Amino acid sequence: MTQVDDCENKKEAYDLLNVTVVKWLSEVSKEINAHVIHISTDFIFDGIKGFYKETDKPNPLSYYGVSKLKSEEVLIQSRINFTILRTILVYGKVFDMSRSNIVLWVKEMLSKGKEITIVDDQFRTPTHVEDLALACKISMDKRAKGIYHISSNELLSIFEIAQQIAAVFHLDKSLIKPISTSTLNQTASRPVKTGFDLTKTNKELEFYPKSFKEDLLKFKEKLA
Amino acid sequence: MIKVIITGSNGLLGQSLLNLLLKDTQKYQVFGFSTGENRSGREDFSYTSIDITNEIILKKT
Repeated sequence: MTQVDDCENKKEAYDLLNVTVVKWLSEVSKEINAHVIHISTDFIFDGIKGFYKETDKPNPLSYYGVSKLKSEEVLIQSRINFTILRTILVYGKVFDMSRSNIVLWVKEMLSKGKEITIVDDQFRTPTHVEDLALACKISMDKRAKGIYHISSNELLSIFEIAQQIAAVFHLDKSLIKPISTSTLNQTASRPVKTGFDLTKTNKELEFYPKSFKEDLLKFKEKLA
Repeated sequence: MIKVIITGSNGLLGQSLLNLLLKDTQKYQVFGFSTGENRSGREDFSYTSIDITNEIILKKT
């Protein structure tokens, strides 16, 4: 989350990692005839329409979104074999965690009995990292080419997302207070409503992501 | 055998993808690139500590 704000003040550093490195990787891939699987984001969209298709027109609001869109363009113009997997609000848990994510953070705060404020006017379809990893593997195995959208299939406000986390982990929902985005004064602006139309992913990758609730229950089982 | 390089193998997705691909070592030969030491908790793949923002080092590796 904070990376999106950080990016506004470090445009060159983000361009180097997000765009130039992708260009170098595409050059190497061309030489050795490799397939590149690249991860992109819902933040390339402006969040007006919601439930975006792969063919919808990007219009990033933040520099983070601009740099990721540039990285997509590098691959599209490269003439190598590539798959772009766009994803939304990724969460999960692995052996070493250098950064937190929405599910672990909400769970941790509520477990400690801390009150949290969560925006109720931004809408997302969150993604369990294991679904994203599976989508990478499927793209590799099928040698899928082009852009695919990967996320859960039900659009929720971030406030609703927090409430579902509380419900699944049996934590106190009343600690979650709704606020509006405008009160946050964040450096970068966020798209109001993203979420993905998964029709192409369902049909071409034969991959059918479920709802956030179902993914959360599975995630909870894994944590136990 | 498919050779796979995971850039960012220490990250959330990187570690998840390692765990998924290393279930099938007959099919995938996995190389992990990340900064610092290998933090995935696994040793059953080839790890390279690398700063991929250095063009010469990236292309040489």
